[in-house]
Amino acid sequence: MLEQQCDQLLPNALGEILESMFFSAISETEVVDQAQDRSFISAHLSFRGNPSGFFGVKTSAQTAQKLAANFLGQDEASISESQSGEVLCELANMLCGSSLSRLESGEKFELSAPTCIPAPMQSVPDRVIYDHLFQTDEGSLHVWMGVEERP
Amino acid sequence: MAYNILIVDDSPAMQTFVHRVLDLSGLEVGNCFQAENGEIALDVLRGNWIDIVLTDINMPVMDGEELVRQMSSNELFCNVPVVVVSTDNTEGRIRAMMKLGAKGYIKKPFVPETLRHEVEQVLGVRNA
Repeated sequence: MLEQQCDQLLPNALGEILESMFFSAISETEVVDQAQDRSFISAHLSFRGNPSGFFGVKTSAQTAQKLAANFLGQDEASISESQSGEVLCELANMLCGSSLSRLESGEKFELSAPTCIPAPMQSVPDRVIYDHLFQTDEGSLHVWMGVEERP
Repeated sequence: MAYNILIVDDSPAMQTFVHRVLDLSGLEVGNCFQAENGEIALDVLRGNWIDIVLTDINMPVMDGEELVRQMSSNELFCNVPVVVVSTDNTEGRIRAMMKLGAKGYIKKPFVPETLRHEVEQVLGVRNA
């Protein structure tokens, strides 16, 4: 049920965020091949509410730099690595918050501060309910969401 | 009249984005102060004339909810309007923040026009 909602809501949320704040768009969506290159920059955070879980966004350094340039209104060449990371964290924060708001209308949730790391997430979520690769104008963007199993 | 604005957000990227949108909006911005959490925002308020506060909710040290609560209960700051800028678009959260004293709520993601419109509405600015 939650998986089906995410399949519909996450692409819509990402499309809205990219269009309104990154001046970009999604061109294609596909399910992620787990054997893909793992050397990308990623931003992840956890959320508490109904449901609770983990959320992450991963992309290449080059795509992160292009997205940061769009978001900050600066030339791509002037974007530092830390700025790319900060913008990717903000993208993860907005995408997670926007998706959860659509999932659980009326209920508050708490998001942790997103952190950016130059490697994939170390911890594996209990239950991955969403794992897709989006093709955007700036390059590919891997998005995943995991939820904790309730006791 | 130029307005002094305080942006409260733990994300430097979002601080920059909001500042840039305000610069491009045509609104007369005087000093644009930035704070990474509610505690620092209160320090800025104690030392400066601020016309409007734009705050995130989820922040370390002191979150936006506590900031609005403390501003509302302080006679020096209770008349400074606060607009919440947040990814949390749930009805429960919006109601809670408005009940605490926020004067506006901008849902992320937002287009630049939305920010400008909300700030102008809260400040009572009319466009020509």
